[in-house]
Amino acid sequence: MASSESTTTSTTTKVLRLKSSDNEIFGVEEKAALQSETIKSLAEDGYSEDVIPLFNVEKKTLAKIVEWLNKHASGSSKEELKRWDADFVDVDKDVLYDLLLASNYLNIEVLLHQLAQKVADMIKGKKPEEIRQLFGIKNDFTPEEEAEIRRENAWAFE
Amino acid sequence: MDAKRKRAANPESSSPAESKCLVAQLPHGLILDILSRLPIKSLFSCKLVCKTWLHLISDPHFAKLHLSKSSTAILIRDVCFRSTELLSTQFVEEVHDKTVDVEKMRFVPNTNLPDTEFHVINSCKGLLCLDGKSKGNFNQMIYVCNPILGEYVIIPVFEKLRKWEQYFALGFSSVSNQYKVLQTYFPDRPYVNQCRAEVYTVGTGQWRSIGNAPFSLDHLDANAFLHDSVHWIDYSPENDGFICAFDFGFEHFKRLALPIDSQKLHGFRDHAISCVGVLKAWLFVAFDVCSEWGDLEIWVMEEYGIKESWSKKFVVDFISYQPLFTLGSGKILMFQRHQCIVCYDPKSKSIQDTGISQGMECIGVTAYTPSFVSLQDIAKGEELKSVDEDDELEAFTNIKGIYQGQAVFENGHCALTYQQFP
Repeated sequence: MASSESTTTSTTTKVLRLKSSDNEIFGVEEKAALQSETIKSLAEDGYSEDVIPLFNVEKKTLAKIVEWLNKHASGSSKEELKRWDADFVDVDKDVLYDLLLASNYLNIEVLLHQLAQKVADMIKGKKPEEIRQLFGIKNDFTPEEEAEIRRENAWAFE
Repeated sequence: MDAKRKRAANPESSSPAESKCLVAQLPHGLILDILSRLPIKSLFSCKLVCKTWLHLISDPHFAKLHLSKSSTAILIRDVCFRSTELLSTQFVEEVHDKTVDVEKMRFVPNTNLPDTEFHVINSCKGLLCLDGKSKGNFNQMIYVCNPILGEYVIIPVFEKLRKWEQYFALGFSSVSNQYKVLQTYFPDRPYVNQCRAEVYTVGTGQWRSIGNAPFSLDHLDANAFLHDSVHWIDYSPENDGFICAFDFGFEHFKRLALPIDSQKLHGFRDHAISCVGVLKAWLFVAFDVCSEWGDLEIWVMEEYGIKESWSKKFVVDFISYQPLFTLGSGKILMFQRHQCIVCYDPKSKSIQDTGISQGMECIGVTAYTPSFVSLQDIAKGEELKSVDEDDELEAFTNIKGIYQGQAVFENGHCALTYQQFP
């Protein structure tokens, strides 16, 4: 609020330094980095001159996130971004999971939507067993409970 | 259960120990976000994945979130055979590759719909409004219904005083978050006296008079609800040049001017209004134009309520098509009256049959957003006393799910019947 930062000066490129939980430092142009609401508020709190510590993001995930931030600040055409984004989220489900948590923590809305949609697309059209297997979810229904839900909603499984 | 095989470790996974239950460990907000992007049938599968997901999906908060993202479906009824079934086809689009999946559901009496002969009046925010006759005494009834959950509420319209030319429409007020039904009628033989209007707020159990109406409701087009308002065309001469509308938030009638250019140029003599509806977030009006070949002109109101913002967006080389809604790709689904559903591509100006209504002879269509919005949550106002309310709740959360309850209002003015089919 009362800080006298020169954030409004549109002179060339200010670079923010982001530190992963395992102490790797990434330099990111301010314009790109501020797509993250979390980084934005940390920067406003006065971290911007120094290193911004991101305790919840490992370097391998942060590297991917930084890649996304840079691409989305690069002024690429809509069409190109769309293609690029499709490739970006086309990753192993463990990576997808890390990216989801990181973009949630960093509060990057656009990326979070893309990732959530990707997971939804993976679930779409699958049977309950397949979904459980895909995400390693334990079935905690008794066989009776499961049969009951199936019976109630039988029309939807036709 | 114990015999169930443990999941074999994925050899490609870099950290097999941590790859268990990944999605289950995400914050609930994120899981909700992911699930709310799924079409209905997939959600029924998700209900069976685990208890946590079942509870998340059964929550009213989820129903709201899902409704806001749920893609539109076409509800088709075979009018020829007086069928009491409805065929729902939801268009589910992949965001990254541009394919469109369709998800079909068949709604049948006793499972999804009341067991009665009915007309579909309209649909609004995940619910359907049906006009039917009660089985016992053939009184006219309005049903507000969620076919996905197999729930409905009966709104009686029988009165001692005879009403003429009764028409109904379901709407939603985002001001008060309430579903409402509007009716217009003539207290005497049509046009002898002024038309009157009453509003029924679902959950209150009463029709309220809102006084005189400047015009009467009419048959509603397939997809005509926008900005808390239902829109229709009144073909009587005194309403020439206007689209009629009723705002469910402020509970007043309004007139929206038609595109002035076409009025000036053609005086509507060779422009016949075909229908009114919603494409993307725009109100549109379509005209059948009598030219050499016959065209369909689709005008959209780019700023709602501003008559200067009408713009002629599409000219289709074929007449007698009724636009229904836009797909994400920009293609427009259209209804060829009584016959089939086609997909119009504005870029190539071509029309393709979707094959959705194959095997049906003469069809009626409504645009509908499938939802998990439960009438139990909507109709639980303070005045509402439902029998065994606790049991109902328990039935819902314990997945016993079978109950039949009746809710009677304290003033005894009318009764709502909830029914969740076994």
